[in-house]
Amino acid sequence: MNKPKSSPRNQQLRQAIRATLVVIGFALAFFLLQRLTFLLRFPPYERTTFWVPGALTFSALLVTSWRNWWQHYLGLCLGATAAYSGDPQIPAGVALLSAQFHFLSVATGVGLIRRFAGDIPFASVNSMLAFVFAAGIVVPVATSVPGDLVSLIQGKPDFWPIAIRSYLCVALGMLIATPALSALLGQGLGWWRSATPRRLLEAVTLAVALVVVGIWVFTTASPAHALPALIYAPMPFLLWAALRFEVPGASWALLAIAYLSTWNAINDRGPFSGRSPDDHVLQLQLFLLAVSLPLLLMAAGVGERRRAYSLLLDEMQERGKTEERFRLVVESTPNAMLMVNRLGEIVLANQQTERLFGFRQDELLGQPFELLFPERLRTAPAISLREFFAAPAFRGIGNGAELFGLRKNGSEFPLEIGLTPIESPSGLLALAAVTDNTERRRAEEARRELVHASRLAVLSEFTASIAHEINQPLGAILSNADAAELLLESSTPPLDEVRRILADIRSDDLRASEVIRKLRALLRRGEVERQPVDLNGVVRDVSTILRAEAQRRDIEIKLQLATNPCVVWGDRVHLQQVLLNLIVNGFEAISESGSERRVTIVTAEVAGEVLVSVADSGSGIPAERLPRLFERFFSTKQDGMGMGLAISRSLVEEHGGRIWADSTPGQGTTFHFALPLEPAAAAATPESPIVVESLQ
Amino acid sequence: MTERVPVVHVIDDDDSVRKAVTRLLKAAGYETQGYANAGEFLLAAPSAAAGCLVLDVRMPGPSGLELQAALKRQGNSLPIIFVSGHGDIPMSVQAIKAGAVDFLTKPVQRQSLLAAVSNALEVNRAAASDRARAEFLQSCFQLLTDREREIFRLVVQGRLNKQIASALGIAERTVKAHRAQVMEKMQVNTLADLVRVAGELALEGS
Repeated sequence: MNKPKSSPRNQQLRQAIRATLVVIGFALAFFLLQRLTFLLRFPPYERTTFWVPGALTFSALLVTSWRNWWQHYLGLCLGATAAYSGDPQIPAGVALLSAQFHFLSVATGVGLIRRFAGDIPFASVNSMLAFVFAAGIVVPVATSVPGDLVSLIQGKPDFWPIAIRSYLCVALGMLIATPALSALLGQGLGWWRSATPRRLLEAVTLAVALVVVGIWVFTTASPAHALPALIYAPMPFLLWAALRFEVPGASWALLAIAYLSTWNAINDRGPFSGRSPDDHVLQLQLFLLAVSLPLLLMAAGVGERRRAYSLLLDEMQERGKTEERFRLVVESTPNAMLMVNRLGEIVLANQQTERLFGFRQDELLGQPFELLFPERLRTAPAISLREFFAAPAFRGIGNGAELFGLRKNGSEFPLEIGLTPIESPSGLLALAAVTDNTERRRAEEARRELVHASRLAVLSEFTASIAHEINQPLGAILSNADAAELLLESSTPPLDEVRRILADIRSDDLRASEVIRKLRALLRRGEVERQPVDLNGVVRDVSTILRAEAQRRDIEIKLQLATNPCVVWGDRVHLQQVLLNLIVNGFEAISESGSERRVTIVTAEVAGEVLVSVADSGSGIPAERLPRLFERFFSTKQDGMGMGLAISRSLVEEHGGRIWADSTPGQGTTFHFALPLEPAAAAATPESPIVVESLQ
Repeated sequence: MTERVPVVHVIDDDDSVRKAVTRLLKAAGYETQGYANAGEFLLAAPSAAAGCLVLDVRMPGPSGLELQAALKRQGNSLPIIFVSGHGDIPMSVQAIKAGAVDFLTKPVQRQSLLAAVSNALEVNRAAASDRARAEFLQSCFQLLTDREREIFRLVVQGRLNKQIASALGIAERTVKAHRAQVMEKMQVNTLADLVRVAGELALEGS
C-alpha cells in the first residue's frame, strides 16, 4: 500500500539525482576537455587548432530533449567558469559571458538541424550538410563573436588573422568531434556491446594502425626531410574508418589525427614545424578541414546507402515472406484458386483446383484459363478476362448466370468464380476463387421440388373448385352454342342474336383459357426466375384461382390493393406460393368457426418496402404459439403438416424480406410479409389511395 | 288457370351461364326469367305462376338447397331442376329427397336440360290440374249437410240402404233421398264414381 504513494516521490528524487549527475558530469567533462585544449595551445598566442568542448555542448544538446537542456546549460556555466579560473587573461565574468553566447549559438544550431535534418543526425548526406552548415558556420561564428568583439574593442593588431583562426578553431572542433561525442553520449557503450568480435577486432586494428601511422607521420616526418605528401599517409586508414564505421568511426579517426598532428606541431615536430606558430595553426586547420569535410560527407553517404540497402533487403525479404504466405493461404483454402495473368495464362493453381478439375498442376500452369470451360462458353468476355483486366476490381462471374466448368474427363459442373486483382512483381494478376455449385444446385433443386410438391398439395384440395372455374365458361359456351343452333333452325333466324351469342362464346372461351393460364402459371415447376413482379398482380391471380374455393367455403375474399404497382424483385411463382399458403391458411382458420367469414388481403408501399397482409376472421392463435408458427412441422391444425408457413418463410427470406404474424384470439389472425421495393419500377401515377375490390 | 304461360326461372350467379341458359330455353320456345341469386327470386315471388326453376346449387348467399327449403315452407310447389358444377352425390341425394325433379351437372347438355324442363313443366301442370280438381271436389263436399256427409261416408263403405237406415235409425226412403242428394251435389252419376271421389277427397270411413 505504501509503494504507490512513495513511488512518485522516489521517482522525483531519482530524477533530481539524475539531473544533478548530468549537471556535474557535463561540467566535469567540459572542464576536462577545456583543460585538454589549454594543453594544446601554441605559446605564446593562446591559440589552438581546434576546440573540442564546443562539440561536447553540441553533442549533448543533439542527443537530449530540449526540456532537459537546462541541465547542460548549468553544467556549461559551471565547467566554463571552473576551466578559466586562474587564467590571467580571461576573467571569470568573461568566461561566463562567452559561455552564454556559446550555449545560445549551439542551441540555435541544434534547432536548425532538428528542423531541417530530422531527429536522427548524420543519417544522410543531406542531414550531414545541414550539420556542416550549423556546426561549421552558424555556431562558430556566433561563438567567436564575443572574443572577436573583445579583441576589436581592445584594438589588438592583426584582428582578421586572429578572427579567422579563432573561427576555424571552433568550427573544426565542432565538425570533427561532434559525431564521435554524440555517438558516445547517445549510445554510450552500446556499440561495443552489440558488435561482433570480428567487428571489434577490426575496430581495434584500425585504431592501432591509425595511431601508429599518425605518430610516425606527425612525429618523424619533417618538412625538411620528407615529402609534404607524406601527411596523406593516414588517408587510407581514415577512408577505412569512414567506409566501415561510417560517421562515428570517421569522426573518431579524425579526432585522433587532429590530436596527434596538433600535439606534435606544438612540440615543433613533424611536418608542421619550423615556422611561426601562427602559420602552423592555420596550416593545420586547413589540412584538417580539407581532410575532414569530404571524409564526413562520404561517411554519411556510405551510412545512408547501407541503411537504404538494408531497408531494401528487409523489404524484399518481407515481400518474399508475404508471397510465400500468400501462396500458403491460396494452397490451404478449401476453395479452388487460380492466378491468371494478363495473357489469360494460369500461373498458379492450388490442390483444390487439381481435385475440382482433374488436371495436375503442371498440366494447368501456362495453359489458357479457357481450358477449364466448355467450348461453347470460351468466347464469353467474362472468361477471357478482357473486361476484368480493362477495369480491375473484384467481380463475380457465374453468379445467377449459368456458368459451367469443364473437367479433364470432359464432364461439366456448375460453378461460380470470384475474381480479385492482385499486384505482383510480374504485373497484374487475376486471383480466381472457384466455387463448385453442384451441391448448391442439387439443394436448390430439392427445395424447388419441395415447394412444388407443397403447392400441388395445396392446389389438389381445390380441384373441385378449379374444375368449377373452368366448367362455368364451358357450360355457358355449350348452352350458347345450343341456343344458336336452335335459332338457326327457324325459317328466319335472328342473326343479330346469333352474333351476340358468338361474341359471348368467344369471351367465355377466353375466360376459360385465362383460368387455365393462371393455373398453369401456378403449377409451373421450372427455374427460379427473378424479375420485377407486381405483387398486386400476384394477389389478383391467386385470389382468382381461389375464388371458387372461397365460394365453396362461403368465405368472402376482400382485396385492398395499393393503387401504385407494388413491384419487387423476385420469382413470381414463389411469391404466388407464399400468398396461396397464407390465404389457404386463412380459409382453414375460418372453417372451424364463426359467423363472419372473410379473408382480407391488403397491399401497401411503406418506407421502401411492399407490405402484404392476409387477415382472416377466424378464431385467432394464442400468443404463445405465434413465435413457433413458422417452424417446420409445427401446426395449429389437427391434420396440418406444418410445412406451408415454414416454406413461406424461407421463400420470403430468400427474397430479402421478412414474415410475421399477429393475432387477437377471437378476432382472427393477420399474416404480414414485407419485401424490398424494386426502386426502378416504383415510379407511377397515384390516383386514389386504395382500391377496394371484392371478389364476391 | 291452366291457360297461363309457364315461365322457366333460371337462378345462377354466373352471368354468362345464366344468360346462355336463358337464351337456350328461349330458343327452345320457353318463357324465361333470370335471377342472379336466391334473394332476387324470392323478391319477385312468382309463386302462383306456372313454370319451373333451373337452380344453381352453389351460389353466394343462400344456396340452391336453402332456397328449395324456403319455397317448400312457403308452400310454393314450383318444380326445381338443380344444376351443379360439381355433381357431388350427397348434395344431389339431398336435393332429390327434398323434392327436386331433376339434378343436372354442368356443362348442361341441351337434350337433358330441355327434357328436364319439359318434364318439370308437365309435373307442374299435372299438379296444377290435380289441385284444381281437389279444390272443386272440396267445394262440392262443402255443400253437403252433416247428415248427407254421414250417409256419403257409409255409402262408400259399401253399406246397403237398409243397413244405413237401421244404423242411423231413420227410414230407408229418407236414406235414398239423401243419397240422391249426395250424388247430385258431388256431380256423379254412379256409385263407382262416388267411391273414386271419396278416394280423392281422402274421406275416411267412420
